[in-house]
Amino acid sequence: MKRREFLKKSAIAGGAVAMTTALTSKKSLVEAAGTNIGVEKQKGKSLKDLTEIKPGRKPFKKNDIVFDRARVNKEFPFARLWAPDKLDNNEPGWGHLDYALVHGARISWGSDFFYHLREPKSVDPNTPQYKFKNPQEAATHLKRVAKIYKADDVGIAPYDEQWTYQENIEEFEGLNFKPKSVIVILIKMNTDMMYLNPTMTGQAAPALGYSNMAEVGGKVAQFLSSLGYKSYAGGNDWGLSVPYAIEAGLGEGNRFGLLTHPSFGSCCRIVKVYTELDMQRDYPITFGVKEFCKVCMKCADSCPSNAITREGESFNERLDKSVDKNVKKWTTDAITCFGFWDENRTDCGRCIAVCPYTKHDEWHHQFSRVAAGVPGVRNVARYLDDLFGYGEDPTGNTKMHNRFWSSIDVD
Amino acid sequence: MFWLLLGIVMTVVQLTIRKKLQSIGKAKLFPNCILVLLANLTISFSIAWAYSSVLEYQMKAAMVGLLIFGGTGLIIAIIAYRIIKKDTLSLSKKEVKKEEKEQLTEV
Repeated sequence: MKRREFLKKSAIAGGAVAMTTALTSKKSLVEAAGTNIGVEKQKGKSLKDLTEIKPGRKPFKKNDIVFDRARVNKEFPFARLWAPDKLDNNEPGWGHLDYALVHGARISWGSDFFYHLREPKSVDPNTPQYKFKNPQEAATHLKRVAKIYKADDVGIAPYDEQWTYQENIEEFEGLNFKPKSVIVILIKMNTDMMYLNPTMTGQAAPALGYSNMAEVGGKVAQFLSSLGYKSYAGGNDWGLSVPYAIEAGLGEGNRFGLLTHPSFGSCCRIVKVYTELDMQRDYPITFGVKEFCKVCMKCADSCPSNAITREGESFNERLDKSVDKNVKKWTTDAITCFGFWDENRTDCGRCIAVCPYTKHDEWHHQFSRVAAGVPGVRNVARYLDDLFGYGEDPTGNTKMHNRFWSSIDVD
Repeated sequence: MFWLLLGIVMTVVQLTIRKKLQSIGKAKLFPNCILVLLANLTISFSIAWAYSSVLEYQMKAAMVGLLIFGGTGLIIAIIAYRIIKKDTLSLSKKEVKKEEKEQLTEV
């Protein structure tokens, strides 16, 4: 065998061995690379470095959020979510079976978790406080525990009064609770179900998400309490979930004001566990969402109530008090959006459903995500997303609903 | 299993074409082998895309993927074929001219 031939064959054999090892190792390098390609960690930075925040910004008032304005202050009617008056067994996605699906899905959630901190079960007062070696060890262990408890992704953010509702800061003081860290947990929603929004069937996706939030958040808080650290789990309430999630390195903010995760897109829910345990924080990440949202507009085009802005990021001075005017960002007109929720009897979610980032966590979508980061490709990515048939309208679409139900294997 | 089979088919196709090119003395790295490799990768990508889309019940995505990526791969394959053929024909013409020259010299 000649030297050149030998070197060639050795290189091929070596490459094959490396590829096999990579594909069959415990954490597939291909898998890890796919999720992390194009994702940049902004080490040492925080949200205030990535966007403009007006100096002297005070914490947002919970009283001003659209839910409390409707539910507590009665400024306008609270959306008649999942009411049975629109049921129609002849309309795909609006039948009695779909209605029951939503109500079954939200059973573990309950309004007590949505609006109040989940109080952990009392722990034996003789339980000593566990001491981690350092904040890094604490963070690593907590993340592993959260994943065991079925968190889909987890990050650590420092507690920041700026992202906590004003009323709840006072409540923490009343509880004599001084949180140092916030464990931010992502619960992935069922993507295929989410595509069926804004029909009743699609509602089961966020409903199930909320139920899982209560379970996972509650378990993590209980775990920490059992280690001797005062901890509370909270859902949408207690603070602004999206800024905390960005600080915890779980994604970027998008045009409709929600979080976009590199793998799940916008199809995820956020639960926060406030704790007095000091942990090593994570840092924000960027992967081209801001640049993509500037040119895409698919959510704005698909919004049934035209509540999503088509303009650039701003302080949203024109909108009313339910929108934070001290942070430069894109947002939705909360009152208009909420009005549609009442009209439709569902919490919509059409923006999440059509967002090109909302896809199954598969290699070809990761490939598309990375490709959409390239400046020229970015401008056509939205049209390619339409061409490939994503973001199909489920209204009156019997085929789409039948496809969803038959995709669930029962044998 | 699908990925293993796709990898095997890709490798077999690539090696078979390379052997064929070597037998006709056309196994130049550029542009012949590179174009063949590109065509092979693009067509395999389109098959993999279609498979993954079908698994997600996104049939339109699968079909459009086959059309766009598979079509691109086919175009590259045709270009590769025509370049290799032109190269072979040019060589044949050169050989014929060389033979004629030799005959004239003999005469």
